Amino acid sequence: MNAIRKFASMAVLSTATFAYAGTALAQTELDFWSWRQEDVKAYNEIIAAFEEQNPDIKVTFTAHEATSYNTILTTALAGGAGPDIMHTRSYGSLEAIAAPGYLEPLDGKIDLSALSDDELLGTTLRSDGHVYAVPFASQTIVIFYNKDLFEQHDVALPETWDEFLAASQKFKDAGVIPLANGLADAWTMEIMSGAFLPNFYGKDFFGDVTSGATDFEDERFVNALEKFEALKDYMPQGYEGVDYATMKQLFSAGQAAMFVGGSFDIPTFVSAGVNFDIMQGPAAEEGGPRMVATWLDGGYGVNAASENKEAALKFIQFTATQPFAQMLTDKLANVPAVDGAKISDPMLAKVSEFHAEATPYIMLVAFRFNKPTGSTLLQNGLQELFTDKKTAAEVAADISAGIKSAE
Amino acid sequence: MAQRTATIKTPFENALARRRQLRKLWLVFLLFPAIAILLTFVFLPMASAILYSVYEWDGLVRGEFIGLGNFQKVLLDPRNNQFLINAFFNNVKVFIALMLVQNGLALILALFLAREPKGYRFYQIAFFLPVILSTVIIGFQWKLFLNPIFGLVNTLLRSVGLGDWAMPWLGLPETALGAMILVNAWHWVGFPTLVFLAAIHRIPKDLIEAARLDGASEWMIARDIIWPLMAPAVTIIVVLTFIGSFNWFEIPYIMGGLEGSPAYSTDMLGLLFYRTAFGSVSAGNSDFGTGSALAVLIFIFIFTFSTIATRYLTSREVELS
Repeated sequence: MNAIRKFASMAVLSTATFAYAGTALAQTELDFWSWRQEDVKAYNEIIAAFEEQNPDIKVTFTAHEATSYNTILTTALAGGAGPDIMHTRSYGSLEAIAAPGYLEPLDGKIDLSALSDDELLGTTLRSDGHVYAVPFASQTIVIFYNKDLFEQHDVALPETWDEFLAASQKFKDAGVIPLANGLADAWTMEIMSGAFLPNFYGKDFFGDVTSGATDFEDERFVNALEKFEALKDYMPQGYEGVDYATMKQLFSAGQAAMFVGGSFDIPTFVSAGVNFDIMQGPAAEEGGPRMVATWLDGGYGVNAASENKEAALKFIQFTATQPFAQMLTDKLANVPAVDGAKISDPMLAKVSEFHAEATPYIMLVAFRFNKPTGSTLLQNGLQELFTDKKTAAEVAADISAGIKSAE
Repeated sequence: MAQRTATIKTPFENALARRRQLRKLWLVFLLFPAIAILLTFVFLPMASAILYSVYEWDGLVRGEFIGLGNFQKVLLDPRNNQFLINAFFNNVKVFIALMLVQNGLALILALFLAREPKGYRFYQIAFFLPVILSTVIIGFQWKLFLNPIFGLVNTLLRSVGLGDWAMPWLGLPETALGAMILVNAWHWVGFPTLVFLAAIHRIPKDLIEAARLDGASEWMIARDIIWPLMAPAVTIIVVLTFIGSFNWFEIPYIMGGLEGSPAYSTDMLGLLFYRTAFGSVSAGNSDFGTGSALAVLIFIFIFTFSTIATRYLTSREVELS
């Protein structure tokens, strides 16, 4: 009941915000919505650059609270009061607004040549194959490591799985927590799995499992889970109760040597003043690939019901160009989806280098469209695996059955 | 009409009639805000939830009328009802545990306070103090206390040589729910204590004195005099605990997250409803139809059982004559 009440008040609030939309002078005014509250300043600068080239268009950037953004946006769109331009999420969350027809299809209207097919996958509606948003930035799973601790304990950077286990053991023997990660926030387990599982299940598994050629009971996946489980010996004592905040604290305070996280964690550790660097997950065997799991964070879309569609498309075209991508990486420290930008931040440049061997972050990219989502199945399964409730084979069977039953 | 009657009435009667009318208007005026608030924030959302539950929903877009289709999905589809059953039994566990731990302790505390031991005003306030704290603060505070590495609880256990007992309380499926129940009991125990204490104070002292003179033991007094006479207070507390247990949301949400972590061991009907109706980053997009159907079912269940419980418990109350 409470939640419904909350929803009702949110609906009233958003309607009130929209009733206030101003009408034009000679300029076309565009509303641009986002969940990136921390990026308002940068976006205003980027918009100023666009307005300089297009003096007849004025763009107003509004950032909403991130966790309720999807609800605010869909409510507004359903009420016919959405913005002209909006930040959309990707994959399954994009479908929530693209499938009911709230977004303008962009292929044919926008030059998308600076974007790769992989990036566009995140903003393409599976049912009709049209692109509904211009992808903006990707996220990547990496292993953060504390350079001081590696030096102090004379541990070489591990490149293979065996070396990784040996390095972890060395830290453990020296009384340092090898891996800061814990189980308490289930999503962090999915992230952690993204650094290790792909190098075990290999390059072809993603294609095979998404095409239906195989399922999650595939030997490659079960084997990957079995290997992955070994890491629980190197997580903090009581890792079952270690949450995201504690993980970050352990790594920031130099109590843990490594932390598996996303490229979105970089700013946290930079501001915490940790002397860190990043690496890819270890190769299964010597000479094997060291793939990083990546996914598209979101895109920019146009409201299909916008009265200023022409101007909105002009802005969206701008987001698909190299100058925009350059500003995005310079001002917001993102790895832009659009090709051709020169990444100046050394850490981001490294992330971008890792992309040479990238693999889709499997559950988010391919199995978050239906319920139960692959993410909830994997997260729950990993919690069961790491608390010895189930074996790798049982977890794989659960995931497989769940995915097959999803609608 | 008023004018015609006025002609056959004395001025005094006339004034009286006007006063009555004014009084009625005044009552309507006073009741209006309460009724308006009740209608807008209780009955309207309830009605809309029922309405929502009989339609198909594509996210937030209402689709076709499908009758009881959503209810069928919630109750009979194994993909949904395994969560429903799991969450329901977790709520049942919470109810039983709170009855025993929270209300049992409250009864003991009330009996203790009723004897007005030295410093009982202080105890009374101390027991009640956590009740006035915000649930959100308590949830976060205890999450920190129970942190396996920096937490107060494990640090204390280790310092007194019970290091083996130090556990990731909120991380293990076996202990997470129990830990949350204890936190809830810690938070709320003062409330039933106060209600029980007030009930005990209402019992005439001479009744207890008389029993004592007749040689009744303290246990007999508690069992045969105090307990039956405080039945109305017990009714209220049982029903409130029942409603609270089946609507339990804040503590498990703050301490275990929306997915009832770890491995759904702290999943509650409230969390399941929220996940289903509003979606979450991991659990998928919002689905108002099944979410509303679930809300309606929870409401019907709580309403039916609390009504039955109230009826039954009231029937066993004894009147002091």
